[in-house]
Amino acid sequence: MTAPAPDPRRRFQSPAASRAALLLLATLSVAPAAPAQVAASATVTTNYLYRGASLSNGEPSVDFALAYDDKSGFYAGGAIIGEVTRREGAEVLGHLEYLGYAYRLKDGSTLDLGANNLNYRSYGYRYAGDADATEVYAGWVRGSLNYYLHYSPNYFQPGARVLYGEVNGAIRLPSPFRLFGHVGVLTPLGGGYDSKERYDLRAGVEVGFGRGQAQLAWTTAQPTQTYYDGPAQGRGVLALGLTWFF
Amino acid sequence: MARRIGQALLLGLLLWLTASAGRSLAAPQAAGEDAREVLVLLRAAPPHFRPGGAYGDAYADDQGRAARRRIAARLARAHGLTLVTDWPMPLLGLDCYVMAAPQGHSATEEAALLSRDPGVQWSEPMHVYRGEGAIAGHPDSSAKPPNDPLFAAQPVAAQWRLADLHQMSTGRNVVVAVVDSQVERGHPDLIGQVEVAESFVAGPAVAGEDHGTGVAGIIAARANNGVGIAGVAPGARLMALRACWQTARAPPATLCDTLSLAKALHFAIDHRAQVINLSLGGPPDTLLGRLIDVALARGVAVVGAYDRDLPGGGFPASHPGVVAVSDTPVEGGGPDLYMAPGRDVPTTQPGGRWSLVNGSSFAAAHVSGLIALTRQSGGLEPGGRERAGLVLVAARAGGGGIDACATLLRVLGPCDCACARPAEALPIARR
Repeated sequence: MTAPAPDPRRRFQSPAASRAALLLLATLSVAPAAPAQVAASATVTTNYLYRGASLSNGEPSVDFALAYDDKSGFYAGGAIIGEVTRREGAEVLGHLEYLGYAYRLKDGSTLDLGANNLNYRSYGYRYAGDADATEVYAGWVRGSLNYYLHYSPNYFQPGARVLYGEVNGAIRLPSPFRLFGHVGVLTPLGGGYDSKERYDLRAGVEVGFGRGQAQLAWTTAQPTQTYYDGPAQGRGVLALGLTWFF
Repeated sequence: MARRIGQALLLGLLLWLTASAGRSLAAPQAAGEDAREVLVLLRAAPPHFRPGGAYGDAYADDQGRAARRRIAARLARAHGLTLVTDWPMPLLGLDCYVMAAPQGHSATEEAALLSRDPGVQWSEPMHVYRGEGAIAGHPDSSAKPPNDPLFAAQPVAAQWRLADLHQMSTGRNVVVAVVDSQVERGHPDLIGQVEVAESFVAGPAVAGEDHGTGVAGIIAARANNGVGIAGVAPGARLMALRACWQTARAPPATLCDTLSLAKALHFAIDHRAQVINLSLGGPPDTLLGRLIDVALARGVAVVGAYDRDLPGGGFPASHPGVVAVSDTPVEGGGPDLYMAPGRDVPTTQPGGRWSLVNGSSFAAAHVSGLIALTRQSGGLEPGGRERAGLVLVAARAGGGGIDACATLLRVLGPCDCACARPAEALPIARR
């Protein structure tokens, strides 16, 4: 069976994107006057990669993120992701929101619980419409290592239940450099069209400068086909990102 | 429709971010030449997940730090201060910002005002600390008898029966942090003894400074190497953390400040030092006190030098849980104060020299070495907050002198080892 050709002109339809974007903009507009810790950032990257899959069809992207941290340990945030294509120019690729609670233990480590919602425009072959996922997660952060387990009942496909476990680490080099690494394993629990376990790796170097940072990362995943159902990835993707914090 | 809204929002966000870029962290005004510095501590949220494209490194909390930098810049503007630098203190869940007050302003008053801001955990003036010792300035490197020619001149050779102690323990692989001025790593008696070296002092690097090199030698100078002295714990691994600097004027003084000490303490705790030597004294300090509490809670022994001219012996010696050490008897010193050799002590000095030193700094160094002996594998493992104090045994009731041999035997328990105990000794557990 041959998969139908992707429709490159498929547009991001979710009205939730507009609502989320308006909410983010409204929050941004009041953030500087509030005593809470609110941060904004802008990131330009050559390829928007998520768990080893390119969600931007290999095209450059720009995202604007907002993060809020409450004194109690609750936190929330969101981002609007845009992409720049040769044919269409600037487009909204998607948006994400998250909400969680982080609790610092006596030994200095942190327990983290939360949920996030991802809504992306789909470049997939099989499913029309958006590529959405909702997840709950739990994690433990200790020093420069962290361990997370995510569960999604609709991982980029309606009814596709998956578990995703990941370990992330960073090593501080002489300032301003930092090495980081990531390994993740996605385990299908049923409901999707694929039952294969999938892993992804990511490693790179980060350089801080002034109020920003540059990140060069190499990412790979096996098998190359993804739940996201987008175009298959190569064996490795090198992506450069630049972030400014405001 | 959605596409147009999205494009408009992207454009609007870009304009807002571009406009805000110019005002973030802008210095409100230039500080006067004699500007004094204030530390402002802002709460840092626990590290947590942030989904997104950069997920592989999404936990570094760069966004959170950006938020706190913006708050710090706002505070500095509001109080007419200059934002100088910042330093994260994840062990305390805080970011520390240094702000300079202009000429004529009191750092203490500015700190009190800043502490009232609801976004500030607390603020304090930058304190200055001083090394509690002096160098006699009599180099002695001419004698060349076999092993450790200055060993016989070391007070601990007789008072603590150091050779006997080394039969039981050398402090093998115990990590001792020397928070002090620059340790000369290439000194013949210190070669290979320094496992980690970091500097938290701005300015040009130096090969070695008097105070730090002297303290390091007392703790862990190589033994049986045919030169110089034998450290109390020659098997220990030193973490040489430069938080103090030596002044140029004679006689040279050793100075440190709150920020440099906080950075070094944080590093020592984070890198799992088992003993932290603080041969310095000054006023009480909230930030340093918090870090010491973290160290004690993790079972780290913290040793401080007692300064008889400062209230309570000065900070950090006066801080609860710190092993306070003096080089001379202190009248009414109380049960928390110990006495150790600190007069006419030969030790390492920069330039590959040895010299005699005096002061509580060097008494504290002896006790740091002794605690390292007790923590050698097979001895006392790092444990609760009080354990560092519990291992020390006083030589006589009512006195602060330490019976090093009894201390070590008490920790090691029954063993095929022994050292003669002074006849008048009466072991009394302190604390």
